[in-house]
Amino acid sequence: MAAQTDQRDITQATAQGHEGKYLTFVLGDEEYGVEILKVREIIGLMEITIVPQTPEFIKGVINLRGKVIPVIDLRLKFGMEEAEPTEETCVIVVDIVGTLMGILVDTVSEVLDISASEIEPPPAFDSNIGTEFILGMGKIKGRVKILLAISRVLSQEELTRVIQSGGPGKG
Amino acid sequence: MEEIDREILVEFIKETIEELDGLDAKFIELENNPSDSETINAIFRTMHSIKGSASFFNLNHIRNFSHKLENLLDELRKGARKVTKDIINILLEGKDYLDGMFDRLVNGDMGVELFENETSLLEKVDGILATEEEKEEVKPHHLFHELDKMRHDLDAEEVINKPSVAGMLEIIERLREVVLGPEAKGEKDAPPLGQLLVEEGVVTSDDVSNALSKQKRIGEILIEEGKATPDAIARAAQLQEKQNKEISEAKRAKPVPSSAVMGIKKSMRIEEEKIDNFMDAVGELIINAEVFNYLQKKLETGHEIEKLVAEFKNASVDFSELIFNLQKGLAEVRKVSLKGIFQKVPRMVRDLAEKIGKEVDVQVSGEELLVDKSLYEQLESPLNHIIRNAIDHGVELPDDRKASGKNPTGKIIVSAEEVSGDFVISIIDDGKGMDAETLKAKALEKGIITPQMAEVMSDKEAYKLIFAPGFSTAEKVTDVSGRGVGMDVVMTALKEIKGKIDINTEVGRGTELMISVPMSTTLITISGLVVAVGKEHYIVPMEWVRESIKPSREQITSVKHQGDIIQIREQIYPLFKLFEVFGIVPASKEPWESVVMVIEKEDQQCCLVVDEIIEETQVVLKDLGDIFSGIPGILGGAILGDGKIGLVINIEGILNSMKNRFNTINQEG
Repeated sequence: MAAQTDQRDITQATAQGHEGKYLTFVLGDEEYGVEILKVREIIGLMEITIVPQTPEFIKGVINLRGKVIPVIDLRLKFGMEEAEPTEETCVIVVDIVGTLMGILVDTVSEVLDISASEIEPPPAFDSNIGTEFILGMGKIKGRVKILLAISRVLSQEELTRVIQSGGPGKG
Repeated sequence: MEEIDREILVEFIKETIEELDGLDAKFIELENNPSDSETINAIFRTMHSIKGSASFFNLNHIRNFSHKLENLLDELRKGARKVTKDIINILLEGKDYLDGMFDRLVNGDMGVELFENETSLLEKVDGILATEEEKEEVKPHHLFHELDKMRHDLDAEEVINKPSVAGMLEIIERLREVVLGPEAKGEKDAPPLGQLLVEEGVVTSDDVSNALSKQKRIGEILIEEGKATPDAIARAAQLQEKQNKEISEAKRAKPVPSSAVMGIKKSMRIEEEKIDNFMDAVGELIINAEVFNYLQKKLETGHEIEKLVAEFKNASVDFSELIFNLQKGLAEVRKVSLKGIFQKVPRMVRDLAEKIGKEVDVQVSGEELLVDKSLYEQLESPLNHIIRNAIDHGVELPDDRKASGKNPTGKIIVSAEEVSGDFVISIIDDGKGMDAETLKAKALEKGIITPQMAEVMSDKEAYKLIFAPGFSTAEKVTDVSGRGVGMDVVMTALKEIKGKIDINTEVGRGTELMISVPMSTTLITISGLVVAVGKEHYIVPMEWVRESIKPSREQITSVKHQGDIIQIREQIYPLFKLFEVFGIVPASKEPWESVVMVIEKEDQQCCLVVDEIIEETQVVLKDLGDIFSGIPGILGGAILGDGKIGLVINIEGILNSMKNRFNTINQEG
């Protein structure tokens, strides 16, 4: 019993660290959230210049008002099927410790204020994303949103690991 | 008020750090040329002004420290003492401690106590000063004599503010110290004789005060001895009182800022003229913007289109020109001279050579060259590593040099120059040189290269093995040349600034190492050819493209395991297909239905197949960011006229990756 209480306390503590405003978006059948503080802007899909010799999930680079920023296809990063772009497809520009990066998502939903009591720890299994990329599961009005640790998803290490090990090129 | 003081203090710290940086080279110069009065005077002046300012800011530790060094320098300057290696060593050490004290200030440590090692150096200086070497003792009447001579300056009221008063102040300062003993020593000094006598019970305190009241003041003694006139003494006394008052007021008015970290930011000096030019250019740009505004309004009416097009073209040409000038101006502003790095070289060489028992002369040239600030900052560490390596591994021990018929003193020449847009630093030593086979053997042993790699490796590539990670570190655990870091940091640093290294060496004769770096790393404009491959557009830097042709089928041959080769006139080149390198679907896979560009990069040549050449362009190279830094074939991105991003091709990277592929094929075959 005591152990269970401890577990709950720890969980509660992490959840408190993660409460706040999230921008939610859709990938396939699932809804995700990124901390609003990391979001710089949301832009429509624009022409992406493919960068050769990079893994599939790195879509390429775009010109954001004179800045060259990379765009990552989150579907491919998370091992989902690539989707045909639609009217709703957009790029969320996030700021990862000073570096701007774009993430390609199916559609952006809304900005949600998620309190600590609504956040549950990530499931230990049953996720094709990998728990290290998840801050927690936001449960709001019966729907579950996966709150992403976006800095970890887009870390230099995570993105270049495949390049260096000579992953499959595009083409 | 305090804010202003702080600003002045920060300014003082910055200036002094700069001046201290220059001292090393001057000390070495003095050592090599002890009778050079200009050098010693320059050093003395620096020390003197540090002391003066430190005392102004109540930085007693710096004042006392520099004061002592100044005394020593003064004796050297007057020729009362000879410049010896020991003295230079002490001065250099003292300079390092001053560096340390200023470091402490920069870090917000406002403590004015000297550290133990600093105090013990001062004791060493005292030891030297105490040894008699026809040392002229400073007598009070001497100083009064000087004071007497200077008092004429003070006759008129308005003279008080003249610079000569500063000199006068200095004399007074010395006078006070000679007559009353150094102020700082006060606390540490033993109690006065009278106090001791009272404590010992020899006399009563009344006896002591009685005796003291009979003591004559120094002025009276001087008058009695006829060394000074009563008039002169009176004036001096007056002056003393006045100065005392001024000094104590100054001390009250200028409290040393509290122990907040000094807000010292990176800064650089810029000539005013350059800034003025900027302002002019910006002014013109504003006018230019007005022209565009005007043209836009005209365009809205839709009349006289032809005339408008012409006007628009003019405005646009003006605009490009202004932007170009601004860019050039900004690049100029960002430039600093290499002096800061180069002036530290002689000291470093001297210290290191002495430590490992070698004799090395160093010659430095090209320090006046201006380079971009970011480049400057990143050059220092690789340069130092290379020089250290040259002394450590290049130059032989004096006996060995003698044995092989060389001058026992080795020589290192460090020079910088600008060669066609590149900035080239060469480090030449006349040491033992390097042998490609020995290097390869060592690299093999350490598992850095494979036997196959060793076989195909050229001598030049073998020399570069000294920069490979793990090549030099192992045997250098206690060594001086790396501070535990290998030469591979050189390569890392150079990669950052897109620098390259070329090595020429001859066993027994020495080594020449050349670093070349593009002059500007901040804003690189590239003229290039926009080429199409499939749906993609790339930019091939023009400087490497010698020509482009539409080849015939007969010119191209496929060689098993080697890929394609192409014969153009008498010459045969390897043929690389860009669509293959980048994995794209091209318009045509057949080279004879495409365009072939002949690429020449230094001594390497190849041909590159693209779908077509679209146009010539000028672009600004942009870094793609860290996640793309590992891609060999791409140099960076550039924003094209239509707002799309064009990737700039890195010919060298492609050549290398293709070469590796061939090597692998060869090894497998």
